[in-house]
Amino acid sequence: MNWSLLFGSYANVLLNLQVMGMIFLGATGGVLIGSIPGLTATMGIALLIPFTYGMDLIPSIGLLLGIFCGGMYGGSISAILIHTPGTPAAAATVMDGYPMGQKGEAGRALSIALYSSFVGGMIGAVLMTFLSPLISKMALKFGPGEFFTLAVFGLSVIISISGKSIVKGLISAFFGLLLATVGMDKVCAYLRFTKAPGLYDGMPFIPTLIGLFALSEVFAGVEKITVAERIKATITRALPDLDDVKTIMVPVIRGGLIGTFIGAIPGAGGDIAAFVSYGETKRASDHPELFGTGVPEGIAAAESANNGCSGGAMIPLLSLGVPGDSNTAVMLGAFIMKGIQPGPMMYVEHLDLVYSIFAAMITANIAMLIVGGCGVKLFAKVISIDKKKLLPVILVLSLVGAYSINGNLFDASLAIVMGLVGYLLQKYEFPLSPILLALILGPMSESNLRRFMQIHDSKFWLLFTRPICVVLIILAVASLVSSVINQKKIERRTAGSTTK
Amino acid sequence: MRKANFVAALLFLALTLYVVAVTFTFKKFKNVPIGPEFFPRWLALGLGICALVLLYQSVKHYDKREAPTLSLRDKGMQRLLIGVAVVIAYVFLWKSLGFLVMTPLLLFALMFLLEVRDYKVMILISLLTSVGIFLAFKLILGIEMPLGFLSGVMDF
Repeated sequence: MNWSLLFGSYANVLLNLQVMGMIFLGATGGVLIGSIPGLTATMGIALLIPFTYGMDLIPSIGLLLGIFCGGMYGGSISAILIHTPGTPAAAATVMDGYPMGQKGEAGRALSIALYSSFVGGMIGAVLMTFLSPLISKMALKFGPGEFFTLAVFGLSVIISISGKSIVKGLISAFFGLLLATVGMDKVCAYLRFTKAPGLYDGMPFIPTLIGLFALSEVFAGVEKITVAERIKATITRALPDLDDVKTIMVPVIRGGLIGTFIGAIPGAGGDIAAFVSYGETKRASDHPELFGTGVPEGIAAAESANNGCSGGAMIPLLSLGVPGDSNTAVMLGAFIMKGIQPGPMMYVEHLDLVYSIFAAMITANIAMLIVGGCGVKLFAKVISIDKKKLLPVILVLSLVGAYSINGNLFDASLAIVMGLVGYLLQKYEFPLSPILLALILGPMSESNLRRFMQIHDSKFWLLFTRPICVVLIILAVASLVSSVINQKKIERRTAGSTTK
Repeated sequence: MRKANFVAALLFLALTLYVVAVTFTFKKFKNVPIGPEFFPRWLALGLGICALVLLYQSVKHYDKREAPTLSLRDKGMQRLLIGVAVVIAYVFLWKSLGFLVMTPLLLFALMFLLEVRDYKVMILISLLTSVGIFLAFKLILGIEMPLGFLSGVMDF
């Protein structure tokens, strides 16, 4: 590590007003874009790339990194306030963030999300600075077998997020996995279950997510609402109090590390990291039965992991030239547009630039903390608006969000259908989160298993000769077993408290 | 919840049978160890097994709570069905009548359905929200919403 160059690059970023301005502008835009369901950080980065044509390299990268970090946190705002993850990466935040908001503690939930996002993001950024070459060497060893077992490991947390009934959680998961098989089979290019052009690429993810989480909530609200229903959001501070900080310290650090590691694996994004971190935190908790009712650890685990992922995803981008997720894939385009080809040679030819990116990433996380902290009271006020007036607005925003992804009405119609499916499933206590997890991990597990079998001449057992696969399978089995034990413990405690 | 779980289990079993039957119509590919039918078929079987467990649990009265109903006589359900019909009509009329005409109407109709009767506030929310969303998406994000018959007039 060239320390003098590292400090010089940090000074260049911190003392350059234009760079700092762009980072703060990006973080503000990212928080706003991330908080609107249907608009992702990826979309924000893609939309703003043309505006960076005339800018110098570092300010433009600062702007994009600001959006990236801000967008990751922004997704938690709508997850907490309106039961809809603003970005797929915030899907796991819904599980405890929304119930906490409904208890009148939206401000507390937002502050925990902000703090956890910041710490997770900083862990990712610091690890990116120091471990970049090492982690990318490990990520390079991931082939189809490793990706398949990673997906299996991710799916093993389904029981942890199943709610009251394991059977219903598994039914939701299988239903989600089946939905993930709709459309073009990626290996043989064969259309399954549909000939509708809108489903050629599979179930459009964002409209499905909007339907399941936002519209289902609107439909339930339209059915139930009879008297003015207002939830008072108590907002006393922008950052969590000391007790909350102590409670979430371990989940945040764990989430940051999990997020960085998973983010460093190309193809695995913040959504997977958040679910894995949530599952692990619930597994390790003394009170797993409270997860899903609005516990700080649940929010912290999910938010620190998805923000940790932003640092992790930059590792393979910078050192291998392989983007870790969709955000960094768009960013790769921005680098190339500026005449920079990320990859191992970047550490030789443009080390000053690499260090400047590290500095910009850390600054972007600080900017996110400041912007989020200033806006937390404003965001939490959304929940105190009369629900009868808010529900129609959420509905329009959701439909516009679904439409805006591809600009077609099919997506908006699909969101309505999925909204009705989600409404019915929720009404009869089938959890929705396993469907989301299955939609994320289903295609990954199927295509990689099939590729593995193709490469290894149908010898499935060869999977057990690969060390990373074996470790991931052991982790998946351990996670499954402990989740089942935990679930049984929850059932016993619930039964005990009911008897009392 | 017993009856609701019983019906849900039967519906998921029917889905299982449908998916398994459809996978047998899939094309067979040569030299492909796992074809396109493999995953959906096994996943459907997994779903079927879970549905059978749920069926068993419902028969054995595991869950004795009252389940929410889907009765058409229920006021809430009537309101929901009207609401869904209005939303479907809204999306289908987007192309011909346009976002700026349909959105205020939808917002007003839904607030009316939700028993808001402060007409001034309803009109204000409907108009401001529609124009606000339209301008935010068009000017800040560059996303064009369908304008319908206004598309020639509103080009800017």
